[in-house]
Amino acid sequence: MVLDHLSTSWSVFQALFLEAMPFLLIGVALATMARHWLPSGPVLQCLPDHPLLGPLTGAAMGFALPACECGNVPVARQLLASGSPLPTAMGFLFAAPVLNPIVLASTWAAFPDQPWLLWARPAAGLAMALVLSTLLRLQQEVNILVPNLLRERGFHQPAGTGSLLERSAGLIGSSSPVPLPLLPTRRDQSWRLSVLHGVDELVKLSSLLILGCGVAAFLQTTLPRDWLLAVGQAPTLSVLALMLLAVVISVCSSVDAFLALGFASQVTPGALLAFLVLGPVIDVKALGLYGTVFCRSAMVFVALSCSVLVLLAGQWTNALML
Amino acid sequence: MLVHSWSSGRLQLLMAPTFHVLVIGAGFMLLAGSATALMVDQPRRSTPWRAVVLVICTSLLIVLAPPRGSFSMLARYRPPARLDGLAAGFALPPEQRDLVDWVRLLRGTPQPRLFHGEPLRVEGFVLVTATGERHLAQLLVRCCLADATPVRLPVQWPADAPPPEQDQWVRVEGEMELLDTPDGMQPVIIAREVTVIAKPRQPFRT
Repeated sequence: MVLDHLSTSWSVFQALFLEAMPFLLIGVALATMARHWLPSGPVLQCLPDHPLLGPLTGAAMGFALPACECGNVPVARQLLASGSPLPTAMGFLFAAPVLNPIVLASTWAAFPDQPWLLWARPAAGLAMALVLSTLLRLQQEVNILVPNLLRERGFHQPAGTGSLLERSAGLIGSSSPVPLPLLPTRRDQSWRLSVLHGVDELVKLSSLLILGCGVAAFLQTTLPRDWLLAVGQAPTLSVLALMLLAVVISVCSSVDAFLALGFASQVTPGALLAFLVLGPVIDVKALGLYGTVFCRSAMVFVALSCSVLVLLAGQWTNALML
Repeated sequence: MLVHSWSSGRLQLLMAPTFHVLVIGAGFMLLAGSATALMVDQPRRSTPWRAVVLVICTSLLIVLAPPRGSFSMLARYRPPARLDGLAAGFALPPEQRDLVDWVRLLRGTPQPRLFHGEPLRVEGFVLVTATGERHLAQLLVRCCLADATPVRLPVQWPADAPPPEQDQWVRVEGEMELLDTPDGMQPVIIAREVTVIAKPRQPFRT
């Protein structure tokens, strides 16, 4: 029995990890290219810092990157490291997993008979990104970003010397003080060195992804999914249950609509929307990756804020549609 | 690890074919990136050793320990799969319908009794339910095993032979019967002959 449980968790882990790796690789590749070709980030630093225009610009940039949250985090981190304004980077980080062509197409393919989801999902995702960006903008960066990122951000230097997640970033790594990055040189900006940085970054992010996938796989085979769906028609409980399910399942946002299709008829419309909006932004698999951008208190703040916003959106949807 | 998962056929056990090309492409990209990184004549940066060890050990484990999970355990507490959008063999003779065709047919018709007594020949794995019944099941996967949901039918196994083991793949020949139960009309496969078969290369429907 225990062996069955372990081997099933191991299979789910492999499925999650192997499926997420390509998206992580896409994200790291884009971040590496941005680091190489936009060395001092002059373009990124010109992005709007406006509380409304910033997140909207970030969301529009996300539309061009059809990747799930695994791919978004390294790109958002590179945006911040290159000095891009916080609202733009946050808009990208939180809106892009929902607002991209593949996710919208899969939502349409899965729910052609529920057109309201086609606009409600991106609208709720965008609204959440706007509110979160505004809330985070009200705080000092030193209180929300990890020290290494702040250091890189302070220097606005790119293809130089340090890898993106240099030292003590996230959940893994040494917490000992590290020397400041050296000033970039022409030699440092060679494409080979950029690749080296990308590989280093990929190793660090992969280790965090492994931890996230491990926890998600364990929970998937431990928590009976039909218990969560048993509260399907209770307006509030169904929203909460589907939010928990979204966090646990950790499936890629480009296909979660097909998964939701499996229980759409058993749950309230608000719960369905909550699953489709929260899952792409907050899930067990991605929490480790967020640790490379946010400090722990900020991560808790982001997770709680997302949850409250999605709960409100779900409740509001239920009030309108039930 | 990614390329090995593809070349050893394991991807077919883990995820829908749509995603195979992504994994293969990522595998070759990683090989190219690693080769380039090895050629760089620069002192290595300080990658945290714990991250390196974790990634290496996990990659080795994935290569050495193939996925052998229990589909029955995975699917036991999951809601039944929705079958919208799947091609169904409505026009097929009863013996040529697979398990998914049968379930879709029975769910979709207002007159399931029309299929009472029809001969069938279906394949699947043995799913032991929470109440200990042994159903014949297949998994439906949209992305990867994480989203797998079961399609299943209860089976009345032949009385003259022990019922098959959990997760065993079997071919069942028999007929469809519909029983009146307090919960409504309940389809049941009456198994006349049960043959143990090998696990398919891709053991789920997409």
